[in-house]
Amino acid sequence: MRPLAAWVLALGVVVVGASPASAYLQLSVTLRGQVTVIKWNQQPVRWFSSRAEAPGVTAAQFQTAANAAFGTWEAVPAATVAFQYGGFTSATPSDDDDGLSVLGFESHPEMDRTLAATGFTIDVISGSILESDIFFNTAFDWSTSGAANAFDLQSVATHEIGHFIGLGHSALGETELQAGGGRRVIAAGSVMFPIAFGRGITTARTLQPDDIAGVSSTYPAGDFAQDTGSLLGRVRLGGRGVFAAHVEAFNLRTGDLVGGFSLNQEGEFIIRGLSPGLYAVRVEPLDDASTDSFFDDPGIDVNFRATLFDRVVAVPKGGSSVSFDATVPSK
Amino acid sequence: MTRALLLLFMLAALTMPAAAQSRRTPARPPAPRRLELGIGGGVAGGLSLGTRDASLLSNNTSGSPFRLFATDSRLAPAPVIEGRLGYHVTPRLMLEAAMTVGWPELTTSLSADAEGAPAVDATESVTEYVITGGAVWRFTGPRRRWTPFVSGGAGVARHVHEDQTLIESGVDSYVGGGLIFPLGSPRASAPRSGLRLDARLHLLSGGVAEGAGLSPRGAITGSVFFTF
Repeated sequence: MRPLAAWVLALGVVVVGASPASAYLQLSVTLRGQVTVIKWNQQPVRWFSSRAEAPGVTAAQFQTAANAAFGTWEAVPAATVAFQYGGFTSATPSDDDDGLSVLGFESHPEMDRTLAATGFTIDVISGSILESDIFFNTAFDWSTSGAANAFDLQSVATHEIGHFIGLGHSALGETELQAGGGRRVIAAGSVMFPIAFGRGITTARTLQPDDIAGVSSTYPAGDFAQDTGSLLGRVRLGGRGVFAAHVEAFNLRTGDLVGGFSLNQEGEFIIRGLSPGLYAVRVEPLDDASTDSFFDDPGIDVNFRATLFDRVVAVPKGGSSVSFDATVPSK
Repeated sequence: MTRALLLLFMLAALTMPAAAQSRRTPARPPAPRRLELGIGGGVAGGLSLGTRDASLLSNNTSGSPFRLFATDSRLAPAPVIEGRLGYHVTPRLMLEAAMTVGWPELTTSLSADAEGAPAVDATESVTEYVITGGAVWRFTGPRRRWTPFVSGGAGVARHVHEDQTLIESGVDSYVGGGLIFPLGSPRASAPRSGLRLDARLHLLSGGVAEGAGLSPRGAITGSVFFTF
């Protein structure tokens, strides 16, 4: 019997929460001193739909929307992630460690800014995901048809299923402070941006290049590693590294925008899964909202200004760009 | 410059005895020289690679683009060197192959940042290799000074980006014209050497201009050639 630990990480998509993010970030844990990306190691991943309903959404409509969201991730050509619908179940998403990955509605009125959340059980030896559950909070109004007064179930399911397969939040987005606290999203460049679009908006049903790079890097298909390249470098401020700076790579030919983070104290970053070509680079602090939904580390440096890098960077096929230092000015 | 003038003077002097001999032995014309080798240099013009916005999806029902920042890319004018090898099919028509090497700088202006990041010009050095095959048609015979010609051809352009991390290929086609100035006696059946001035319009498809459509740019070169 494998030594298991029920380790639950809850990631949600919020309405007006203080949740910033990292552009495509693979969820990882430190196991035996090693940072390990968590992912499903056995496929297809079997999932179940609870019988719970919400006002305006039947269990059958829920299953259809969730199935479409799974299909969106499954359809990425450069990724091999696959799912299998197991049927309706009386189990609930809150039944942790029952061996079933369940999606369904639950009532959490105390979570007044959380539309939905995903939890995991992982094998602490391998980092393999053993079970993942997603609840959708009936404290909010839901729709499967893009109704103007309700949140789009398929859009939020697409985001949560990104977590379900091991992706973290994305920081490709812009927000503004609201008078009553919290933030409102102005625009986003990734389904995995942590703050949901408004009611009646269905555009987040479609994956963006940042999402596609994320799932393809986690579950690469065929020659993905040989057909794509990486952009690497360091973010520096006053001669020292910047931790958790958000780095955005913009393909000058395709218009694809993919992000990453500097993930150590040297400010080093690497963004994998990029189409070969020429890239403009932008670096910004994680200051659109609080940082704790991505990094537990208190040493996140946000005391610098957004910066456009003064070099065009060439990303080769099957290799890495020449490493460079992007120097940012302090605020 | 002095060295170049001295070289041209010497080439001219070397051709004079041949001209004098031809007056004494008119019976047999010299065998036509069919091969031509040229080397020179010049300037390749700049090339617009287009504008593109880095955009996010707006939080509205249409998902209209929200500009994060704007880009405007171009290839700067650059010095080039070129070598040519030609074959005279007739005195007026020559087929030729040419190789040009240039070192343009690719510049992308980044501006209009949504969070107020200062605008910058992002740059990168590119080495450009263009190998073409084409034809040259001279309008008057080779005995005239300042012979005008037209040319055209096509070939392959290879763009090697900084540190050789990325190599892109495209198709380069051109039309142009210019003047040929033979050195030596104007009465020789064909010049042993000469000067050639080219003005060309190039159309680049692919390569560094991938996604920018058919991109036109000019080039002006001068060269010295020798016939064999």
